[in-house]
Amino acid sequence: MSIVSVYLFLAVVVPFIVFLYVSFLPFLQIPSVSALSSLTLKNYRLLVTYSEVGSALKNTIIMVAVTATVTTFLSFFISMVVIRSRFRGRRLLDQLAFLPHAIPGIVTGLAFVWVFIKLDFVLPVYGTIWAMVIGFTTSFIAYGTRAMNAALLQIHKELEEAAHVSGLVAWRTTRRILFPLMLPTFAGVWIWVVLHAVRVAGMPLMLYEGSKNQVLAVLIWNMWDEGYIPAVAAIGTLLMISLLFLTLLIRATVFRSHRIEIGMR
Amino acid sequence: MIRIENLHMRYRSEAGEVHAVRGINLDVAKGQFYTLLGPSGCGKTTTLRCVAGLEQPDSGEIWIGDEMVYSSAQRLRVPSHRRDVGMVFQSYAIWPHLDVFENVALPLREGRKKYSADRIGERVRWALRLVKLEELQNRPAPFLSGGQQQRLALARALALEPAVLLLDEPLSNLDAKLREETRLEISDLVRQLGITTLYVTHDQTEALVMSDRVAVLSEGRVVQEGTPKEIYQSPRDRFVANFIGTANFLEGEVAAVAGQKSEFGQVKTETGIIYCQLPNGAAPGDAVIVLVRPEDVVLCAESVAPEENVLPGRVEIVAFVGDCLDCQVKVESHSIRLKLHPQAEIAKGQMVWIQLPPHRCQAIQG
Repeated sequence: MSIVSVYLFLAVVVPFIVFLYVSFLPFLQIPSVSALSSLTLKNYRLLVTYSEVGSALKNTIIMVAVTATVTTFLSFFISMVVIRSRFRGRRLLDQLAFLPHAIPGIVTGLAFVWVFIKLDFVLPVYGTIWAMVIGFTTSFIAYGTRAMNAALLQIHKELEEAAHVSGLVAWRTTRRILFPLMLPTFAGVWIWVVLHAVRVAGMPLMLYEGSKNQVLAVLIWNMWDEGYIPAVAAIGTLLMISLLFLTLLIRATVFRSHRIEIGMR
Repeated sequence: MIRIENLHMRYRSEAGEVHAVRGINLDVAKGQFYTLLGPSGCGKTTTLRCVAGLEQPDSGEIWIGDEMVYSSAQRLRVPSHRRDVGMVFQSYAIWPHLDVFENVALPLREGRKKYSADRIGERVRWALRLVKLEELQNRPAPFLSGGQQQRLALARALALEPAVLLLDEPLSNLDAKLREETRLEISDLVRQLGITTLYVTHDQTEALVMSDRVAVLSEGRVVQEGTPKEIYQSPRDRFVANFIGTANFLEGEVAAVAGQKSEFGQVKTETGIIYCQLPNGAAPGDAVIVLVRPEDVVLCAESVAPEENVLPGRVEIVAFVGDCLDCQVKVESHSIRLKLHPQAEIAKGQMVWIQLPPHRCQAIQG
């Protein structure tokens, strides 16, 4: 227990404190009395005036929300077919959905770049956030379907059959029985995709073009490259705090009363 | 009330195609408690699920009341949610995200019959009172014990006032003591309500205790159908006799049929001539199996005059079961099981005379 606490402190808390500290410095320096006396909000003010931050924030929110929502629903429908149907190709579908797990992000990124450039005349997404939405969705479905498969296997088929026999038509059964029981999984997958999509920078680097379409991860990379290190710390701090709030919010609302046994043992 | 005609059903499984139901015919009268009894894989649950509309049969006809709900010839299939049935599942299928009240209320609120809000409250309380759960209305379903979940499942099925009640091994997940209590409660309750019930079980005691009629199933067919008493006392074949209770089997061939000399037929077995009741139409020379239940075998005094079906033997096993002694006596090459009063004086290795009372010996086609 104490080892875990020490590890978590070193791995999570210390880097966050360093980030926080740097974000208030005018330039990168080792902690000292003079460093502490020069603490400033300059970096945060810079973020407000640095015009690319606003559009990067907007792009990130749209990209992440769409990716998470699309991934959640596609994963759900794929898992429904894989777990619940008697469709002959269901095993193959499951393998296909799982495949992106085995491919490094940079390879997926390159592959999509080529596909999007070749298909630009039918699907003009290259260089837009929609390219990232498609790329991320493809690779996150590999995770999403694992979580959905496990959750659907947990929900005994008789729970829905009981609703049918009780006179509930199919869509009412889905709304009243399946969705409420799947809700923790939906939320879990959604938040997982949000967190990962914000963090993962590799693929957006391959897929973005021009400042209009960049997201925070790319912006951080560019600012780092250009030497705005304290400003990077400021964005990072804000990002971490907002993601932390999002995680806590979802845990508090959705996972509240769902420590229950579902169906048969 | 439920009529099934020539029902066939196959399905694909990991092990290949399974012909689960092979031409089942049933007729359940209104108000009857009818049991489908058989070992696992005999097609009893599949048949029940076909009645509920949860499985799609390959051919046949199913009627619930006056309504035809399935017919392969007419390409008719009424979906589950429009069939007038209530069902209790083996897993109970209690919805874990709802409380006790809501589990019963949901089908009333969104089901096939429309009820007013007042009427829903009334029906739910009536159903919960029936199964003695009214105190627990607001308890979340996952906090119920197995027995309570089972009763809630029953209340949910009954609240809808269905024409027929379908029960799929509802007692198999309960412990022995509770199972014994619950089987009497359920059969009392459904009789009191007069609801037609189709019950599936692999437990012969449940079938005998609860049912008006029993159909014994094996490999997708009805092997024998009748009242519990008929099935226990005159099983049609070795499978039924073995499945319902324990029985001693003596193989042999008919030596003489019943006539003026004796009211019993005679069967020549390895242990000599056994007087017994022969099946209708049996003729000398037919291969038959003589069946006698352990509780019908009696222990005789040594001095008894040579009489019909009295055999000498040596006691092999004496097991004290509490309410009886379960014994095994070796008669020549045969081991005969008998059930004796727990006070009976008998010891292992002892030589005894046993009688197989002729009117309790039933010959069946071998």
